[in-house]
Amino acid sequence: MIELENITKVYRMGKVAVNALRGVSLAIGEGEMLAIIGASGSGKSTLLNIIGLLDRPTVGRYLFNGTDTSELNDNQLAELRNKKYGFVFQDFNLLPRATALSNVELPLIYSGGVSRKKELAQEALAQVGLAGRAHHRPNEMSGGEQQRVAIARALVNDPWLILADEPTGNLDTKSGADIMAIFHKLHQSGKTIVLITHEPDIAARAQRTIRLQDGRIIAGGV
Amino acid sequence: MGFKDSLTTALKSLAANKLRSALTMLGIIIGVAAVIGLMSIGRGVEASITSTLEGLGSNAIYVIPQTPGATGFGGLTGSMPTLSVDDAEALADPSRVRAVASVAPVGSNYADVIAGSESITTSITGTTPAYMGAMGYSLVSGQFISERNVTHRDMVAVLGDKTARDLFGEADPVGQKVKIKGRRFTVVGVLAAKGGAMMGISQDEMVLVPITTYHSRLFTQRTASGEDAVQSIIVEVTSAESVNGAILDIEDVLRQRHRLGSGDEDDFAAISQEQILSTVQQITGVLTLLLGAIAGISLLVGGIGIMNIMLVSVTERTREIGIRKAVGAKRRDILRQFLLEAAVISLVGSAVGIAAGVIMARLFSRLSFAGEAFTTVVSADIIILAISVAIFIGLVSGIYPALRAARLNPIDALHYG
Repeated sequence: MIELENITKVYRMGKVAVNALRGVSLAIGEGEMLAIIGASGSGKSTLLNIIGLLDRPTVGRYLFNGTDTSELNDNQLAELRNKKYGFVFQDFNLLPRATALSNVELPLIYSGGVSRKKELAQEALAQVGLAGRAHHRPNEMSGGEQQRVAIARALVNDPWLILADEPTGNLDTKSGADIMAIFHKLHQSGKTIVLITHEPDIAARAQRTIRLQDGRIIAGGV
Repeated sequence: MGFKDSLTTALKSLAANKLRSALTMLGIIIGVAAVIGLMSIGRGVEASITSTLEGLGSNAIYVIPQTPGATGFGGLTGSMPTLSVDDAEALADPSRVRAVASVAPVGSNYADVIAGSESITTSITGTTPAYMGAMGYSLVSGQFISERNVTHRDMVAVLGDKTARDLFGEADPVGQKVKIKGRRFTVVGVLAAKGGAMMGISQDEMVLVPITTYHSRLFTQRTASGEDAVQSIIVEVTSAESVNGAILDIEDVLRQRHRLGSGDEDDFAAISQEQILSTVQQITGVLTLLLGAIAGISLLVGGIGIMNIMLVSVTERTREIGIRKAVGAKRRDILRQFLLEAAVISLVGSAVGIAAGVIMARLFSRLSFAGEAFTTVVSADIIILAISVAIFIGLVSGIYPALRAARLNPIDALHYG
């Protein structure tokens, strides 16, 4: 499980210091599906990046299964991201020149010693219903399909936690609904999911919702 | 990430930008080709001069006029005539110059030579029978200048291979007449082709006449003391070991004959074939190095090209780097990917550059310089030098962009652009 204690994040924008997070404490248990909501600038993305080990907090403790992540170096964080975390971004972030299969395979390349990379990637694609699109490039796919490739990439290493930053933000309603269906299915199969959303009905269907405002949790904390 | 995966990744991203990769390689290709091409020219010049000089024989000593006080080659050119036929005769005395085998005085000048309707301007050399052996010539036809010719001031001439062809085509010139400065000479012999050139003068373009005829009928030039002047004296000794001792003797004899006091400097220089060889090799070595350095600059520019493209590529692919880092790429993975890209560019560039350089060297060999056939020399050390410099420059150019890529913070990289 993940425990955040009094997390603070201060950015320097030139000479101005911006307090993106002001003392957030949060626990995420195994198998939870957590939605983070809040106005833009409330600190949602900053929080998600810190949970995803893409960024380090300025102050505060972050325990992953009891390990203090502040004691890990960049390489160890990279390894943790690789093995235990999966990311889904609003704008997909696929490698534009690589096929769906290569994109899904990407985390395995950095895992070291994983055999059957192609098969694992193919299985992950099948899980999101894109078995037949393995050799298409992102520009040959719809937004919804691209986001499914991104989900397959997040799944391929069988992570403990999947983080999604407004995964339906760039999609039409129908594709967005498909994507959410996949997330719910993953949740039901026992995956831990944290997602940021703007849409109240998506948040409503999550198991638990926290609301951020000005870098603080104002509802649904710990 | 394994090496194989890194290489695959690097190759894929190079293939994704084919035109850019090719243009980047072009810098290295041109650099390597230029290094190989130009250095092979330098080496070719070196080899051609060396083989020419080695043909002279290691037992030969050259005595030439020298302006007192001047050193090096500068003092050897444009000097006043200080050597004479009488000097040459004095040096031929074995009791004065140890181990002397033969002495050939050499007078040399340019004049028009006419045979029938053909006319050429070439070098006229006055000398004695010893010249042929000392210079390593042989005859293809007729005979060389004889002692009798020298004594009788005979109007005979021996032609160099190219001169004979220029004047008479494929016909045998022996017995034919040539006109030099309005005087008729009978051709008595033709020298075999030697190839190569001495200081840009072909060794096969010349007309040889007896030294006595040269002075009395063609070019009258006297030293300050009124003796017949010569451009040089070639002294041959019996063995290579006696060369240094003979040089000392020659200096004694000539200083005495030229009435030089103990404080006066030599007005001549006696140098062995070995000394000429080492001096010339020094000069051509510098030439080769210089050509190599010029070409090296283009290689350096090629390297800067790699660095530039890699930096652009890192900026352009910041997002890609962010994605890779987000899914678990470590610093060294990114570093390796970009270094491998630079390495592949410089390796492939070097390989193509070698091919281009060798072809260039071959083409240069087909051209001729100053009417001389010229052979470039491509040797393994030139190629190894060119590749090592290319790969070194390629990697050094790749390191900085690769480090920049590896150091990117994943979150900044992801949100770039």
